[in-house]
Amino acid sequence: MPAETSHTPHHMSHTAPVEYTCPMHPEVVQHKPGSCPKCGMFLEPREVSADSRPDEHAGMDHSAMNHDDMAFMSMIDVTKDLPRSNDGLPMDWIDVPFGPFFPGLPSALLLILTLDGDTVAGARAQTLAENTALLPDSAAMDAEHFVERLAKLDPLAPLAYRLLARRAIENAAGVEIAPTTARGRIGALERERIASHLGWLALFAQQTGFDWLLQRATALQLHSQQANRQQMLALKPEIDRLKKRLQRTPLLKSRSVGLGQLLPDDKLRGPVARAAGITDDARSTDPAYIALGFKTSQRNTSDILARLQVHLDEISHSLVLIEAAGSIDTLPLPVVADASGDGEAVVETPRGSARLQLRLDQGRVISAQLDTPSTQHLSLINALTEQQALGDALLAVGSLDLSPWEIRQ
Amino acid sequence: MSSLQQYGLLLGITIGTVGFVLSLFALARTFGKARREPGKDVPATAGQLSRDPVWVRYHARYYGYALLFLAFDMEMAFMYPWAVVYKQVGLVALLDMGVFLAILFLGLLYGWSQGALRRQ
Amino acid sequence: MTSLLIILLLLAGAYLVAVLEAWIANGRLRFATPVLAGIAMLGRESIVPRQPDRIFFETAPVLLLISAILGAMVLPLTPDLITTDLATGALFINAALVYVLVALLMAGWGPDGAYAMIGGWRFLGQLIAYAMLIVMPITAVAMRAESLLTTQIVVSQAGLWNIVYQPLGFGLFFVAAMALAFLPPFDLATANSELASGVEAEYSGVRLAVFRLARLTLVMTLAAATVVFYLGGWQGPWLPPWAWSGLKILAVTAAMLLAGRLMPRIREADLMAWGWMLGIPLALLNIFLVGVLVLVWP
Repeated sequence: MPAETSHTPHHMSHTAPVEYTCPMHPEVVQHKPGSCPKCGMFLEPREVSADSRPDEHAGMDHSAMNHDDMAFMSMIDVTKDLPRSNDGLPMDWIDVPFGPFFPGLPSALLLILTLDGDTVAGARAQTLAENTALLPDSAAMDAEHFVERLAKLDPLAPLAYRLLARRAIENAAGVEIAPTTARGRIGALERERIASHLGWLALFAQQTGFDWLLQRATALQLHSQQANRQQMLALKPEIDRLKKRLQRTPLLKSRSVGLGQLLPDDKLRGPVARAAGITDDARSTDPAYIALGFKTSQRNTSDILARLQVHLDEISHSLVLIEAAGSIDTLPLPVVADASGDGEAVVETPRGSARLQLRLDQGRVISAQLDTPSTQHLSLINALTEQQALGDALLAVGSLDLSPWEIRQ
Repeated sequence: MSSLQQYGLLLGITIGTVGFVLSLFALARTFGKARREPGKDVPATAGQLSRDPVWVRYHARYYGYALLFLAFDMEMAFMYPWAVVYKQVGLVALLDMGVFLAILFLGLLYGWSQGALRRQ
Repeated sequence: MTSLLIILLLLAGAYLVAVLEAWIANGRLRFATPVLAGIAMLGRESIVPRQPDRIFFETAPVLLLISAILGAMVLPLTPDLITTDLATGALFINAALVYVLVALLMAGWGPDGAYAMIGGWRFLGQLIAYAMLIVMPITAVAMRAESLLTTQIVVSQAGLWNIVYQPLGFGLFFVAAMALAFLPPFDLATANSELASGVEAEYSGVRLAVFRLARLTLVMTLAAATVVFYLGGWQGPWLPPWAWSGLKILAVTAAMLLAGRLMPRIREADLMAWGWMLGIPLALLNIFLVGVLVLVWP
């Protein structure tokens, strides 16, 4: 019986010539690797043995594809080298790219899923947002320039990074912040958090084809991005109505309960961590926040529903904080004439805490290290999607709220 | 209209639909042909030009349901003629089909208990 | 002559569905949009993917359209306005609409693209979930009418519409019809955010126009079927029969289009599980209840 297949040629060692053939079209035989002119599949290598030269047997040899001497096509021979699914069936797995322009994922995020049917057997993720040049790694630059650069790092949370840079520089220069300024900053950061969380809701709605929520969340997000304090506070009844509506939405629970679960892990940040029962929030140790009556929202189930609830809770709580803060700062550029020193700051961005360490020399930033939540979350994708149905896997990736711009590879 | 004529009419409508679509194609053709450009004819993969084969052994996860479905679909072939004469025959018909459906339903329950009704 | 009129009405209906769909989606009632969009689609390039299964790829949109049109041919709009009053009408509509599955599988397999193929196979799973919930409720309708003639089915509801006589069957049929027409929340095969439009992904230009037209016609056909089987067809006071048919069909269409916007897409695993663990037992119960009802209170 012809036992060896193209994958395991057992006497490949002696110098037998190799030719390439299409798994679907045995009549296609080439001497070079390539793709089949009939169907485009990759040609498989196989050995040309002495007794089956193309001129004798029309390009057939003793590979699995040779059925000249077999009355039937043996499924065991055809499938024995295929990967096994978790139910033991040998199936072909395919690699399918989702992104960088996939409607259900943040753009610039590239997710390559190995699919076994419509179940994810493996995942690779990377960002294609090439803005590493924006990061102040090497070249020294003056502080104002540095702040501007960091603010441009992540277009999805510009204010949080601007604030992060300012606070690190102020920390390095030893500048004290007046309480009213600190409150104004809280107002600005919380406004950005509301807009970002509404964006999370919009992505969730987009991924699940929930058009009503998509329209509502997008409209509210646009409205809240540049709103002043009064306009923000006027959003409260709208947000409450949205939350009430979501509680009554059919299928929402079955779509999110028990899905996308993550084990509590020190890589979890922000709302993802708080949905897993971890009280990780840079705000809870900030005296300015404590003075405003800040409390963390928390859930324990660590599934998509828990993330949804944490995001909704935080939207409401951010509105309370904005009301208590009394103003929304515009974050002018810092004035740090000729200060020198090391500085560090942690800001709870909408996606989780980001940490910046920098060294200031004569008013110029000479080195900086940045740690962002999405960088941490990117490595969770494999565990998150393994053996999930495609729709669930994509929804779970979406629920991490990755920003491809802040991922540092 | 005899039933042969009726089916003839349906065939005519089918052919007419094909003709309608062909005339749409012809109309679109008068606007111009698709221009050949590299990369254009690669199947959609969200911005990556991937040319992996996808005509593969596909793992349909619902095969448990699919097997049960065959049994139920066959059963429906008996239900229609039965439904038409049901009222005439009366209670006997209800009992006849009741026994038949009960056996079939037991099959469903058995399959359910053996884990056929889940994503495999 | 009647056939031509009905096909024209069907096309007009598809146009109205498109207007309704846009109205429900963005709140703007524009009557020219579907026509302009259709012309624009004809003008766009219709790209054939590299090395497709050409027969499958080309046949799928046409087959979908034929399936939807043939399904509509046995449905009466008024006692006389029906193309073919087949003696097996209620069975025939099933047979015609099964080709929706064939068309979507062909559209999925044909272009050799991953998104499309997964969409096609997903729809096969969807069929396994909804198919019984189409045929079983229709059986119960036929039991009451003692006929598979669709006109007879409408006449049998003269005293009491089937929506009241067998509400369970109506609910199941309505939901299954939405699944058949792959309307949200059952748009697993064409999910934009999961499969970048799935089986529609590789179609463009005139082929996509045919595909979309077929989908609209299918929605129309299913709404008309719901009206004929459950909402008393052309019957109603004051207005002429054709007006009643038209109004009811538009109302059912609007309900089908609106429902999907208000909830997230169903998961395939849930669809299959609920279809078999809940839907089929309920459908059998419906047949039994109607069986008893027909005998004691015809």
